[in-house]
Amino acid sequence: MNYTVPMNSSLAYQLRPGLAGFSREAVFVASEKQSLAGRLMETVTFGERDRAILSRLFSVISQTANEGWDGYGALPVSVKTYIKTMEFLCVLPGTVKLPEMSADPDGSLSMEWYRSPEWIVSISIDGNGKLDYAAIFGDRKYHGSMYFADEIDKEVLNHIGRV
Amino acid sequence: MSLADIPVDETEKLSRFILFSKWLRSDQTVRSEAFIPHPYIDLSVTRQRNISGSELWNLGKEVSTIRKCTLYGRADIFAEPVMKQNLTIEPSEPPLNHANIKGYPEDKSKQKLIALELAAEACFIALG
Repeated sequence: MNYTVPMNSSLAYQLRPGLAGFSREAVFVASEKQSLAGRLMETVTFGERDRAILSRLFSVISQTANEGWDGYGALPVSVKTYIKTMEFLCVLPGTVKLPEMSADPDGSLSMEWYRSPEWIVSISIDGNGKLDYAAIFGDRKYHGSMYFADEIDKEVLNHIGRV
Repeated sequence: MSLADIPVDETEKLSRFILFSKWLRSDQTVRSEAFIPHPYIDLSVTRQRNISGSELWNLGKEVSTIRKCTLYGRADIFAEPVMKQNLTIEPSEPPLNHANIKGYPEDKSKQKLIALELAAEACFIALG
């Protein structure tokens, strides 16, 4: 399976599956890519944000990787969901603040941009890239569903940007 | 006294037990995930009517024990804002004072919007 992630993020580059072959050259190239990604991760520009993404994701994954993690039949957050969410976060413009992360009992990962309970955006993504969002801006309320692939829908991005 | 046959009044206070730290923000407000129903499209709550504070906490501790989760506190919400979402609250005992919020739409984005609005109305009470 190939995941098409814009290559402007070292994290997406490092974790993109399906790139390595088995020949000596392929192994060497894969190793060089890992090394380059690692060096990029160490830079302030790329590294801090990517590390923050990883840290937030890991803090959720560590608690929700097993079926029934809520003691009431919750589905585990799958690797596919994790990767889809990472792809989403990696294509967020760098000027947009990172969300707080959580998990839904249906196995989706949930992201929240919060200013106050009346000024908030919440997005869930599942392993197939299905994205469900809801947003409240004072009296105005929005919700919708779509599939995320490569690019974030402009309306969703506008909502996030308002928080 | 069982409330099984007593309809929920809009002035009643309901509690949703908070079993995950991720259901809370750092400012101690309640996140919408606490109000997303799963695996059914019903959400379990406990009615505060006719029970003491300690009895209410004991019910929360029972839930957390059964679910093998930590009880962090509870999200209190009046029945009125729940009903305003075109949801119904149906008594469903046992356990004591248990009720189900019913009528969530199947569509997840609609569920999320409702959950955001309910969370905005909820007040977190930490386990003392």
